[in-house]
Amino acid sequence: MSITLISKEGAQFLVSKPVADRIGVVRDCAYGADFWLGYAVATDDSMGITLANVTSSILSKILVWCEHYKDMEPLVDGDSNMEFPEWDMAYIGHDMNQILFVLEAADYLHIPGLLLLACKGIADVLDGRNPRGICDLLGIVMDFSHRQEVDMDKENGYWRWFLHPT
Amino acid sequence: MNGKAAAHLPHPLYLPEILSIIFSHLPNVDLSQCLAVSRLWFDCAVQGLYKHVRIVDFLKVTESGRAEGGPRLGQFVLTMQDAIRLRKYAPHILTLSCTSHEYRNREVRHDWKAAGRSYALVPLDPLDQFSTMIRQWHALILSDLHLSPQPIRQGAFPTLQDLFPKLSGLRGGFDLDDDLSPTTSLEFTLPLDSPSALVNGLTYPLQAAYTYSMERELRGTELLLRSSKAYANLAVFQPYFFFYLRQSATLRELELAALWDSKTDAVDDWKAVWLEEETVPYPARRCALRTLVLRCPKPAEMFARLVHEDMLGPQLPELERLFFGVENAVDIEEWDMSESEEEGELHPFTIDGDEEMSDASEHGVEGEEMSTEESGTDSSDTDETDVTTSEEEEHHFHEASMSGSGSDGEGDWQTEDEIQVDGSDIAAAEAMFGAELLPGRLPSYFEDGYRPLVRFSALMKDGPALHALLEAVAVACPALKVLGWDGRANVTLGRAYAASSVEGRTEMLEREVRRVLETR
Repeated sequence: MSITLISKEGAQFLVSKPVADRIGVVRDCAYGADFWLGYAVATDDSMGITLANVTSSILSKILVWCEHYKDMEPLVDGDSNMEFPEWDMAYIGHDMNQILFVLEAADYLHIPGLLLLACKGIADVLDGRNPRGICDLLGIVMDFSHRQEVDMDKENGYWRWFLHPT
Repeated sequence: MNGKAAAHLPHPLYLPEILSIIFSHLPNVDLSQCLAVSRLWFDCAVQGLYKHVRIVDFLKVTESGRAEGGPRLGQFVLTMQDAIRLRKYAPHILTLSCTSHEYRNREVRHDWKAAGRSYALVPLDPLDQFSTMIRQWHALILSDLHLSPQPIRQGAFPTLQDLFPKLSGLRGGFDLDDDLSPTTSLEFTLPLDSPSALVNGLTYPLQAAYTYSMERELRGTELLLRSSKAYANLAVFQPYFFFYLRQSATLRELELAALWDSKTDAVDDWKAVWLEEETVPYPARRCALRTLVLRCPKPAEMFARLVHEDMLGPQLPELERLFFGVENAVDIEEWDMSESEEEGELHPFTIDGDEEMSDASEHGVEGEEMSTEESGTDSSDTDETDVTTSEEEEHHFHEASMSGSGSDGEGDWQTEDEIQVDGSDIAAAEAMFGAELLPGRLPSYFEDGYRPLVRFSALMKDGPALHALLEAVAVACPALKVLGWDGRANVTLGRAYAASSVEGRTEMLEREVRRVLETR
């Protein structure tokens, strides 16, 4: 059995069941429709599932990950000490915009393993940046006053002592 | 779902759940940077950064705690701004820790004093700072209830739960014997099931951890008896360590580095020991010890001693995991013992060529007793002593140390810990201690110098020794599930082991151990 996924732009992707099973939303649509009123029911190949929030480029990237993990379990839990497989790190890369889109899509599509990988990717990009650098990179508005920022820098300066012991 | 709905989806970096996952992958250095990005990021990052924190790090939130080289004696002052900062960070703390190395500064000060030098260069103990901070924070909260992390009723005294609402455990260490402190220490994990039940709040158990003779009973009952995990490093045989251990109903994991010679330190009459150490020889409680790690040069002999009914015997029937190793948790060679052996004591910070050492160390003992008494006075007394000059302090120091008691004037009374000499000769301190041993940079055996359990296999290839050990294990530990050694080899035992007789258990253990030894 295969399922057709339709991206935001209307592009169609025909994926096999093991690949589609990695995507929580698709899994629910295809197999759990009896319990969720209002969802489209994919009973055969002719029916597609529209993923209105995912662009074609991101969907194709996500399907690469799903294809890679169709036969094995990805990591779904971890901390700062956990090491991801090399393939995962190469896949996610260091392009922050791309990672953010993947993260957004993984969150929307309910793919815990990919969500974790995207978070790891973001953490790697944030590594070594100061607050203003992070704000500039991610387009976040810093809502602390300058005085609060300086104060917080003093309060937590000792965490950086290990990097720059004086 | 249409495009209009999609436009209202929140950005993932504004979702606390996503931020928490991202921050779980960041080291503390980067988490501290994320705090200042936005209020939302602060709320998420601070939970990870201050979850498990050392006391010495937590105190650096305050101005006094950030003083160059650490706050000097009597100079820790908590301002209103500091109280606001504490209110910001304290509610996120789950565990606080202070290892035995961090509070050994106190003993460094004794040696400075003994040498007649300016020991004010040495910062205040983290535990001293902490107890001072708690006292002052209490006082500030009583003057302004808004400074408490949790709402406090008018007229009520802030409890530990008010100050640290999430605090669930303390981790720390203390010396088992004052005279042999550098090589005889215990690290503990103290779960706080009901924090408010502690008599004086957080300061009480931690102070009991490092105060001296008057508190010996306290530290035994309040720390060892309540700990769930203990890591003991016994360079010499300590009978009362096992005495307290026998009383514990909560201990589940014990890691014991035993360096003493099991033959020369053998105890023939334990009852006499208990009577000598304590007036009442309490009976052993049922302690459900589940994990025991034994590090010692002669594990077979040592274990045979530990199973004695007056040592760990009553605690072993429910033991599930037993690990052996030869390397000790503490590398004695790291400490400078060259001088201390001549002096008849072991100390990490010996002072070369000091003629006044022996005389002044006697005064140090007297001064310490005064310090214990003074610790019960109001914090306001302590603050008033800050303004004394170095000459006055020297005078008080000599007066106190020679007479063994404080002067009559309450305001002028100073403990030896509060005496300070104005000085900032860090270079001299480094020359004396070495830069790596300056307070604040002390290594922790249990964190940095931890060594794997190795070389056990080589010893156990000797057949009789292995048989003797495994027979003792089979007799003492009928509920054993895992026997491990060398940090790598494990034997897993099933229900058949527990159901067997002693002979059957011995045979099963020996067969499995030999199989693993031969395989490797």
